[in-house]
Amino acid sequence: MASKIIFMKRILILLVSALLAIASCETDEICDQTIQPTPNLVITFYDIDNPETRKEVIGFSAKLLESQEVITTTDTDSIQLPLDVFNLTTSYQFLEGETVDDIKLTYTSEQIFMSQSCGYRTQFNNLENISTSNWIQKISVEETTINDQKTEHVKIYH
Amino acid sequence: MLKYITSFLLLSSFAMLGQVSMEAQDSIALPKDQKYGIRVGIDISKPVQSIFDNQNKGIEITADYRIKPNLFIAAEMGATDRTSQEDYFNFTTKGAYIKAGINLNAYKNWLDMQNEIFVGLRYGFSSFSHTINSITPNQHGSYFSGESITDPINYDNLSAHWAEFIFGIKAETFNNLFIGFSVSLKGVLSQTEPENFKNLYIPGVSSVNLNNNGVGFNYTLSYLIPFKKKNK
Repeated sequence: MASKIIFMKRILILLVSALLAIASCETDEICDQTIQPTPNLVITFYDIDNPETRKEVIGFSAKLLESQEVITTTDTDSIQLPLDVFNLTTSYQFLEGETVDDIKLTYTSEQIFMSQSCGYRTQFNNLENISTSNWIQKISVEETTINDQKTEHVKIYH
Repeated sequence: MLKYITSFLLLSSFAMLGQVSMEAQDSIALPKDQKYGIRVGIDISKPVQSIFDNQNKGIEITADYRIKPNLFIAAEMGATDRTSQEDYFNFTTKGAYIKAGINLNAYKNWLDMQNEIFVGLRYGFSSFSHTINSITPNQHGSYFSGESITDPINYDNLSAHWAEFIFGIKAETFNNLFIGFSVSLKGVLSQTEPENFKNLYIPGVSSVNLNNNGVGFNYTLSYLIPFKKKNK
């Protein structure tokens, strides 16, 4: 009988420790914030008269056409803009001061698996653009595949 | 952290095992008849889990057969249909698995008692498929909103092999009826890697962590069909 009680006690200890073990086994993986999720589009500005030289746009701002949300306002020669991952087009308004140009970007998208906690990032393929030409003279798509933010994807001459 | 907790638990379990057998040596062992036969059972935790979480269905049947006083050959068979909700996606895993190996009883019973504190080894094989139901791409900022991408992606004909270390107990509650509990640590030996995805869940292994390990637990109810009695 004594042995049975000891046995039951041991069972109890085992059950408790096993439950603790299980509780500590829940997924505790958190997405590392240093990972590169869906890349932004990298646009650089060049001088139309001197195509090898970067040229700042004074009083530049980028607005989403649909929501009229302003993404950035600055004097700059390069910007990074997000593309809509839920659609296959993103339309922007680029302003130099008060002068507006509409730019419509079209692409296909592909989901690339990263990890359990970080999920998928989008890779954009076959990038094309249609734009008006008020202050922008010329747009050249350098990379049709947007997979990272390390290279210039689009060059704008003005 | 998990590694330390697990190894601590394993160590303390072994310490307990040692204690049990030492105590048993002090007692007077009377020769008694021991039952040999096939013991079949089910894992009761899986159907219970299915009731509370209808995204997580599973069943497992178990069997073992005693070949030596302290040695059993053992096998488990099961099936899983489980949907996992992650932060950025949702996927369903379906599949079936089989495990086979041995259990070694380290507990010295009094008289004709048939309780067990056992350690076991298994080799496991699983055949399964994943379906990615929806994806919300991970992106900077929140300028765009929309529905998750819901074109299902299927990964069929996947398989995995693994090795498993089990530690558990079985207690005879009524004549020939046993309740049991066990914890198992699994290491995936080989697997079919799906393209542009990872086997985050493998039926039989359960959730697979970054080091290709998994942890499982079973609550079993089993019945011994005795064939013969042997004097131990």
